Amino acid sequence: MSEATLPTIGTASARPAPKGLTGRLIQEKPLGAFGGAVFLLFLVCGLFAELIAPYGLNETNMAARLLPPSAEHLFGTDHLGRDVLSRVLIGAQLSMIVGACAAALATLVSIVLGVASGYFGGRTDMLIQRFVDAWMIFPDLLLLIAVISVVGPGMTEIVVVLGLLYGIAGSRIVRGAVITIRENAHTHAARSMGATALHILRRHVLPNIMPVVIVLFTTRVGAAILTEAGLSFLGLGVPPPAPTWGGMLSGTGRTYMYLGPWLALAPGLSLTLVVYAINVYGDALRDLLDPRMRGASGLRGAR
Amino acid sequence: MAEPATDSAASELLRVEDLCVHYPVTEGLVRQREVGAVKAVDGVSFHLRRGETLGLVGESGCGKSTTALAVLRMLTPTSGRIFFDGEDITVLAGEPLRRLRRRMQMVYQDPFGSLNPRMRVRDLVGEPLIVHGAGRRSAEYRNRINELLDLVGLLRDMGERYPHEFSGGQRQRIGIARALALEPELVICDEPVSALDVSIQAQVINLLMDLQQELGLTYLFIAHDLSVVRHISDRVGVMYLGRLVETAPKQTLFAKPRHPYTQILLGAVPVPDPAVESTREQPMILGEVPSPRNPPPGCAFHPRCPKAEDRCREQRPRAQSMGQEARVACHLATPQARK
Repeated sequence: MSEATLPTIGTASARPAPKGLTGRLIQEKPLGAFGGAVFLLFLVCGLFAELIAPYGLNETNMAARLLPPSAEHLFGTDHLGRDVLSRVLIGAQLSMIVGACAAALATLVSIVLGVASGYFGGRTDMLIQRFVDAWMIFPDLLLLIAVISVVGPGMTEIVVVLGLLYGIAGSRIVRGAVITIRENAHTHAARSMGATALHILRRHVLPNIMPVVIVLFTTRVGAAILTEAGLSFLGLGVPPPAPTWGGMLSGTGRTYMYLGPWLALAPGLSLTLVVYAINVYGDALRDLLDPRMRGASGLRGAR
Repeated sequence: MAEPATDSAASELLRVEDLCVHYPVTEGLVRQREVGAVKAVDGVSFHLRRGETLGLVGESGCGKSTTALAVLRMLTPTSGRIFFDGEDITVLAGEPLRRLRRRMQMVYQDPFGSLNPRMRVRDLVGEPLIVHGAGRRSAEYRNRINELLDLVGLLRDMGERYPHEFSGGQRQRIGIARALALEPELVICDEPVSALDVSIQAQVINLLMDLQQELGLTYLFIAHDLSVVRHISDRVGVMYLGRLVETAPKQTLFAKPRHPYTQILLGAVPVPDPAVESTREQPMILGEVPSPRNPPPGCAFHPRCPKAEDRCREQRPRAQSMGQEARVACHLATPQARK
């Protein structure tokens, strides 16, 4: 129509062939890729723990008590002669399930509450936020201990309680992000073209709070794993004989700390490593999913 | 210059009558009491014919953007009436308002904030079409987007990119393409070039003018840059503290400003000749803009006006016609003062 009168500005630069997310992760964020790999490793180990574990979960061998790490028992054995590696692997299963499920539930709760509060504002916001305030008055651990003592320890109970606990507190963060997006010019533009609330939430609000949500999710996975370990340490976690990292630390790990430090080191290091891995992976993912960071990564933020 | 007087009423697209937008100021934590109002827009009237450009100028906070938002019905006016194509749209809501939105679109000031960073250019330009029920996969939809990209001078394969890959001027082209997607009759441009480099400003202004010619668009063009307004407008309205102090055809306004505020505003524009600039007499504006929460009685401009008289302090001047579509809200302006 008007090509003749209007100068075309800019030229299409040759763009590199689009790479998959995994390729970009490895190339642009090696540390994040490492974190992802470690997390995946733990996940696979957890899922197939029964198959991978060299010894049975409660297979005792009184002749091989408190053995230091060796070729036969990579992480040594405990006071009952059980293989620590096998127990750490099966403990991973529990930690992973609790961590992932609790974090998923928490993120969902945060998004629902945060978006309702931040986007609709007004009276809805007032009601939800006063409820969140009231909830946040209680210290996390105290609330957990109280609830778990009432409903009794168990995996589902811990997932639900942790999910609600983190979810309600995290809704504040989502709310803040939503308010920023709601006041953005592009959200205003969408409203002025007649977009419905559903369209704005789906196309403008949710995609733009993803960085916050990803970080929220990954930090909550780590936190849930840690809290579950803490609860187990206090004897309120998933009840024995299921081997949990927290339980291993508090029970045999503490008692035999001087005789067999590997008893505490194995679950302790696993815990540290998996929480670290999920955090760096989350950070890398957040950066990669942001189109503004495309091609600019490595210049900004951690690799 | 003169429009055919016969069809002037028929071709009128927008009429704003005595528009007021007041924001209540409340006090009290539990029970909120209204203790006053910020009069962002206070009795503004103007009209806009099809194919015409009305420039609205004024300093920051004078209510020009609020006026635009009220016309766009992004907010509901406190009082006054807005007619679009003869229909009263002042209190329109729900589905009729959604239908109206197709017919008026906005180009935003901020070329960075007004484009969703997570959408591709193609989706940004097509968003209004999707919002109004186009199918994302239809050939018709894709063709329309290509057409729009052509129209604003962007390459078709740029549609696959994200906004952060573009310069400010290119982004503003994306914003213009988006505003044109629904073939609106009225386009409200809220300072569309003030965030751009001067060299790019001209390109975007020329693009807007070409598009107006080609598509018969009507513009409500808001700016604080007088030279930009002078270039693009047919008529210019000058706002001060929520009021429209003067409206006149461009030539009349720039050649013979009648309101003291307009005179001072025009005098503040530097002359591109150092010899003239250093010797010419510059009318100085006194003091600062009063708060719109507590505007001065009478003429809002009187505390800063070099010509203020007693009646200016007491009586609010009404807009009076000066002929040739010129209207001035000043006690001192008289039609015979023209020549």
